[in-house]
Amino acid sequence: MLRSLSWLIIALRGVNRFVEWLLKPLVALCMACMLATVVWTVTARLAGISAPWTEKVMLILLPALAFLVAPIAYRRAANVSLDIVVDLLPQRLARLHLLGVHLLIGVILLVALDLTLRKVGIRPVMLDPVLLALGIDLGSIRPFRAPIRIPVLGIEWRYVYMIMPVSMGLMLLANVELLLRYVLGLFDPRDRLVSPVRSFDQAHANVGQ
Amino acid sequence: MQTAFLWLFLGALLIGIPVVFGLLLASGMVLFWDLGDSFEPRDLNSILSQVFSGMSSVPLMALPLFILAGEIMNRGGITDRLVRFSQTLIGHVRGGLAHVNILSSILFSGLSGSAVADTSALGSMLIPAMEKNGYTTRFAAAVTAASSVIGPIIPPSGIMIIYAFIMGVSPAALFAGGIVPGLLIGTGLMAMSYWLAVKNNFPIANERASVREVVDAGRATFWPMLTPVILLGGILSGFFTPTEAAGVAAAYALVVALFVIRTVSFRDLPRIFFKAGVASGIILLLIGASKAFSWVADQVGAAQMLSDLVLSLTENPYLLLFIVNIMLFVVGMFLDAGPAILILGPILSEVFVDQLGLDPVHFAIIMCVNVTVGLATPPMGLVLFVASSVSGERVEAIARAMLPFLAVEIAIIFLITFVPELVLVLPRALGLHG
Repeated sequence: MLRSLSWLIIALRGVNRFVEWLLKPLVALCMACMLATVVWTVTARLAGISAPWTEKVMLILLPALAFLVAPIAYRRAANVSLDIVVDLLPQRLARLHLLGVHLLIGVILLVALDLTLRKVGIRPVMLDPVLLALGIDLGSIRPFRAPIRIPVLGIEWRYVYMIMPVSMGLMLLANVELLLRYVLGLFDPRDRLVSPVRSFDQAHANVGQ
Repeated sequence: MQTAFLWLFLGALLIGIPVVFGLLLASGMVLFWDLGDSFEPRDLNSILSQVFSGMSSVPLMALPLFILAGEIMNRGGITDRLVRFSQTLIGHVRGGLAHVNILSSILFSGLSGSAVADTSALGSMLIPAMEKNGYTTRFAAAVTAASSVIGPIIPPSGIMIIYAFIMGVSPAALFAGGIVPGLLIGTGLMAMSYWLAVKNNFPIANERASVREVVDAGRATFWPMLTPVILLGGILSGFFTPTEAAGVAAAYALVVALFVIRTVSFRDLPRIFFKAGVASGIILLLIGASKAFSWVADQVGAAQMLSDLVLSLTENPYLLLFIVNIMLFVVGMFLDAGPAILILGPILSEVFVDQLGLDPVHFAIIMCVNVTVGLATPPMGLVLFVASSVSGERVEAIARAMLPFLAVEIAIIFLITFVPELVLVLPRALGLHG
């Protein structure tokens, strides 16, 4: 049982590391695009060239960056949180507590995934029964399919919004990995897979468990 | 029920749920309870829309670009040049390296605007140097931590951009408003260092530098130090919007680091952009979630209710300011500056700006300085942890050694609170504020 759990964690860790590997250049690219867009805005203004697209691109890049970073930040515990209570608890109880916290976060992410899928016009038939089992009925929300386009760029907003369900889905993957680590920690606290996913500085070299 | 969202959020925060999830959880739950039978699941969609639209704003673009400019300068090895320059200016005074530490923080603040970056960059260089010079590790770490809070007060400042965006205040006016308080804190810390140096017979760092040495050291910092000049000059003169200025400053910093001082190579760029991207993304998501939180608070009339509650305590603005300073200071002990501003800004500004008629720039600076100083206070002061990890000294020991410096910072918080002219003189003189 514990062996299968370990294998599952290793598999998920591999997937999540691959996701980070994919997201890292995208995050860097997003920042580079932001810089290029603003520099072009200034250049165009000084040169008297009209560049109305720059503002629209900025409006897309900001949330895109946030949602690209979100899965990495969540897995690397980089989001701001208060650890006072967790630090005060004995190790075993702290693991149990964190298991509860991440279960709750899992529910938030499930709801967010459902809502964001509907936002891009997809009815999440697979998620409905899971949420219903948790007492959350979002079935009455109709998927949003109106083709609203971004002025100047001509792209449908729906495609921009797609970053949200992708991000939520990836965060859920990280959430499952973290949950399994805490479960394993309850039974075998010395297993090296139990140790927390490391911080960003260490993550940059992709070291750690 | 109107304030349930706040208690729910605080509860979530206390049990260790990350702030961003706590904000979303509290917003969703309160909407569900408050609307009762009229609650429709699609109301949750409004929260989602608020999160997305909350971070989709052109003025907010300044934030990631300021962070990028700071990251480039930080990685570009400018720290040792700044320290050398500070040493030629002030190293000959008693307690020289402590003064060098503080002056370097003031200079560094114009480049990075981050207290954590300041502590880690200057601390890793100056703490060992101070130890070698006869200072105790705890004192060296305490000076570093105490002076690093100047980073987000003297512009450019990420938290001021956040405040300006959330509360609709002019970022240029906030930047100008932060200069005098930042310099006051720097001067106060230097005075305290001098007093402690005389009392404890701390050494001087070096002989008085010749004019030529000062000029040489200054020349080495010339190109990097033009970054804050471009940035602030552009914004304060109205030539650039803050977003444009941030973009130009980041591009300039990149050119200087790559081609002029050549401390960054093209191979370093993905890492620099990634690091700045992560820092920005985390804050942006927090801004989105706090926008949703504020929207829900507005929907259920909570801000007004809280404001009435505060005003029912007393209507004396001075007493309320005194109370709010204590409260913000305590909040700053536990929460990072950005989240503290995002959560409390809209609520407190309703009381102090809308109801009591306090100047919005003045109140913004009070808030920003308070939560920034909180970064260096136990138990959760991020800067203290960084100083501890850089110096290898225990957090408690650094916190104790910091007490005299903290006293100076608290005194200056009260000074700028009750003498608004100290904050408003520059924004008014520059025509940025009425």
